[in-house]
Amino acid sequence: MSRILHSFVLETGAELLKALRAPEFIFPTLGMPVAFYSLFAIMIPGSSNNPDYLLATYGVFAVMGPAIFGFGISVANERDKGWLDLKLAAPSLGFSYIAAKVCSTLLFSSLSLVIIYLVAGFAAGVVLPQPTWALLLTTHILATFPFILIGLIIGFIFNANAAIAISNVIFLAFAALGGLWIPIMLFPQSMQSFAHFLPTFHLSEIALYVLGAPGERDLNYHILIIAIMSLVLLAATAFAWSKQRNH
Amino acid sequence: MIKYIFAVVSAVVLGLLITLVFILPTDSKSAGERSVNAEHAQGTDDKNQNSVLFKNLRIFDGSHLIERTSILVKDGIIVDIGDLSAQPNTRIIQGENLTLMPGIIDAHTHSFGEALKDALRLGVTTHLDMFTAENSLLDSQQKRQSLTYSDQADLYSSGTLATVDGGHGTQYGFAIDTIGSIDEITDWIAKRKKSGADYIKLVYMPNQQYMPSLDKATALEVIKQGHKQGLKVLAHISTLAAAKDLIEADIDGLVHIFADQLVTDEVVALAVEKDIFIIPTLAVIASVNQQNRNSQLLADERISSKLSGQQKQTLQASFNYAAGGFDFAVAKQNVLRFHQAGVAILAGSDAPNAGTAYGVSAYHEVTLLAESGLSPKEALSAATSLTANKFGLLDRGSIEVGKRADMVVISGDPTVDIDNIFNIEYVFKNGFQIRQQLPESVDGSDIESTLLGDFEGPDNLLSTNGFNWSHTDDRVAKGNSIATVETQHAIGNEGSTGLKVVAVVNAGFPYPWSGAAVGDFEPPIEGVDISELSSLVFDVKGTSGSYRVMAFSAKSSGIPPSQNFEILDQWQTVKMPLSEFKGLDHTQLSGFAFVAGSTLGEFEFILDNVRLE
Repeated sequence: MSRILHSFVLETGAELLKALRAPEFIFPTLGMPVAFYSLFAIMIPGSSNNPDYLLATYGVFAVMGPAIFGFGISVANERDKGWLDLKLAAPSLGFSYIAAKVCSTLLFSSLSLVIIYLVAGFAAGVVLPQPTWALLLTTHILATFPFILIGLIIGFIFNANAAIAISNVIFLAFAALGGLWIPIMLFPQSMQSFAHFLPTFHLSEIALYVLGAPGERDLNYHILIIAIMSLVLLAATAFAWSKQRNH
Repeated sequence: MIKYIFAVVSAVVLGLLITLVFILPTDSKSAGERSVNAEHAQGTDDKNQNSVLFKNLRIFDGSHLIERTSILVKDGIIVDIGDLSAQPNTRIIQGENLTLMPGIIDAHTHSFGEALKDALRLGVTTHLDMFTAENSLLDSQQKRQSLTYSDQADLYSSGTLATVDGGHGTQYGFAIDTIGSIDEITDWIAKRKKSGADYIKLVYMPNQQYMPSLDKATALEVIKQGHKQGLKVLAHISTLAAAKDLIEADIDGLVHIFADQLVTDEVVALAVEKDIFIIPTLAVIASVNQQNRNSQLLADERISSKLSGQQKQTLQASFNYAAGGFDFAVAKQNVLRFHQAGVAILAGSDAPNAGTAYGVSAYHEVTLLAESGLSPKEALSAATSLTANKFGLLDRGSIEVGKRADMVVISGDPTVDIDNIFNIEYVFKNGFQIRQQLPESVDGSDIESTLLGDFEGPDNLLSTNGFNWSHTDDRVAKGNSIATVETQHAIGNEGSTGLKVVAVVNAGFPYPWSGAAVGDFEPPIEGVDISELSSLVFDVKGTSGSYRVMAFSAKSSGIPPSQNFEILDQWQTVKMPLSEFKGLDHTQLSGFAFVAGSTLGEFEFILDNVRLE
C-alpha cells in the first residue's frame, strides 16, 4: 500500500513539476476563463446585472480547460512518444499514473476557480452567503471529473495532433452549446433542447441551483443525468484504456 | 525534492480555497445592519431576505379591512396572521398609518420590453397579458411558480389573439397567426395552448369600416373550441351589439367596456345570468376620449420619480384622433350598471397604449373604477382578490396564510381616500423587497457640437458626438421601402455641399418609413445631453409634401416621438422645438430621422445645415 502511495506522490510531484516548468500551458488555461468572465460579467455594458449567474456557468468553463486540455493532449503526447508503454512496463503502477494526473488537474482547476471567484467577489460585486460560496466552489471542483474522463478518452484514442484538434472542438462546443458563455434561455428552443445532451449544461444547471438563480430547476434530474453520463464515460475510459494496454 | 511538491502544492491550493470561502463578500453583516435600519430601508433590494414580519399594520386582505394586525412572511410565503411577536433573524416592518395590500394584478396589459420590471417597481406583481409575443410564455409559466428572487412581475397571457388578416392586432409590425377560416380554429387554439397561452382572446368588431374582423360565426366557434380545450375565452369588443352577441354565446369575459351607448337592462341581465366578468380598461378609454388624465399622473411626484423613460413616454403619448364610439362618461356609467347588477368588474389598464404606462396605470384604473361608483374596497378587490378568483390564480391576490408574499405597503388608508394607493412605501415580490427607484441612469455625454451636418469636407457623413449620417428605411422591419443618401457638391443651400436623399415608400410594413438619419444607433448607445437646447433647425428642399422628423433616445424603445414638416421645391429653413418631441429623454438623445411615410411613392429631398440651437 505504501508503495502505491509513494509512487503516486512521486508521480503527482513530477506531473506538477512538469506543469510548472511549462507556464505556456498554465497561463492560458488559467487566464482564459477569467478573461471571458470579466468580459461578459463586467465589461460588456448591460451584462453587469447578472455576474452571479455567470459565475455559476463560467465556473464550469474554468474547470473544463485544465481537464480536457491537460488530459487529452498530454496523455496523447506521452502515448505517441512511447512514454506510456515505458510507464506500463515500469514498476510504477498504471493507477498512480492516472491518479497523479487527476490530482494535478484538480489542483489546476481549483486555482482557476480561485482566480475567477476573486474577480466575481471583488470586481463583479457578487455577494453570497458563506455556505453558498463553499457549496458552489465544491460543486465546481467536482464538476472537473466528467471532463477528466473525456480528456482521458481523447488521450487514449487519438494521436497527439488529432487530440489537440478534438479537444478544441469538444471544449468550444461544450462551452458554447451548453450555455456556459451565454445564458441558455437566450438560445432558440431547438438548441436549448440539444443542450440536454451536454454535461456542461447539466453541471451549470446544478451550479445555478446551488446559487439559487431565478427559474425552476430539477436538481435530481440534472444530478441523475450527470451520474449516467459519468458512468458511460467511465466505461468508455476503461474500454479505451484496455485497448491501450493490449496494443 | 520531488516527493514534497505534491504535499506543498496541495496544501497551498487547499489553503487558498479555504481562505477564499472566508474572504469572499457575504451579506451577513450588512443584513444585520439593514434590519436595524428597516424603517428607512425603502430603497433596498435585498436578494437574500425573503422573510419579514409586518407588525401592527392596517391590512386590506383583498376583500376586507383589518385595522391592526401582524403578518409573518417566511421564505416568500405568508405563514401567520394575527398578534405576532418578533422572530429571530427576521426583519420587522412597522410604522404609523401603513396599509398592507396584496400585490396589484393588472388584468389587461400588452407586456413587451421592460414591462414586467416597470410594473413590479410600482407594486404591480402580476400581469394578465391580452396579446404579446409568444416566445417567452413557457418560461413565464415556470417562473411564476417559483419563489426565487425576481425583479419582474409574473406573467399570464393569451399569447397572440384571434383575429383575421388585416384585423385589430395585426397593425403592430410583427406577423401574427391569424384565423383564415372556421376550420382552422381547433388547430389554432391547440397552437396557443402549446405556446403557453393561459386563455384565449378574440377580437370581435363587426359592422365597422375601419378594419376587418372575425365574423360572428367564427367568433362563436372560437368560444366553443376554446372551452372544449379547457381555456377561458375573452373578447375585445367596442360596441353594445358586439358584446351582446358574445355574452349570449357564453364568452367568459370582456376585456373592454363598450362606450358607444348606455347598456340596456336586457344585456345587464344577460351578463348576470351568464356570470361573465368585465375588464373595463377605463384608463385607455379615457385616453382615446382625450380626457387628458395622464398629465395629472405625470405631475404627481409620488409616481413620476419612479417612472422609466419608456413609462413616461407611453403615459405622455396620446391618440392622435378622437375615435367615435368611445365616450368616457358612458363607459363609467356602463361599468356602474354592470357592477350594481352584480357583474364582476376587474381592473386592467391596457398599458402601454397611448396615455397609459405599465404599473402606474393599474393604480390609475383602480381610482377610475372608484370614480365610476365602486367603493374603494370594491375597486381594490377588482385589482386583487376578485381578479385572482376569476382567473383561478390560487396562490395570489389576497393576504391569507399560504399565499405568495406579493404585497404593497402604502401610507394612509385607501378605503378613506382611494388616492392614497399612490403613496407606495414598500413593494414585496415572493417575500423579497423590490427597489422602487430606477437604477441610477447615466446621462448622455455633453454635446460636443450643435452642428449635426453641413456635409462639407471629407468624411462628410460623419458628424460630431459619435453620430453619423445614413439612410434609414423599414427594410429593417421587413418592409419594402428603400432609401439612399449621398453628399453632392453644389446642391446644398447657396451652392455648398448638401445631402441628397432619394427614396421610395412602399407598402409592406404597417407604418412605412424611408429617409435619412443622423445618430448613434450601434449599441452600446450612450446618447448626448441636449436638455440645454431648444430647437432642431435644418435647411431643406425637394419633392413637395408632408414629412416628419423622429427623435430617438438611447434608453427607450417603442414608437419614437415625431413632428411633421413640409418640404417645398425651394429652399426653406425648418425650425422645430425640441420640447414638442413628446416623451423624448432629452438627456440621452441618440439621433434623428428625416423621413417620409404613410403616403406611398417616390420622393427626393436635399438636407443641409442640420443643427441644434
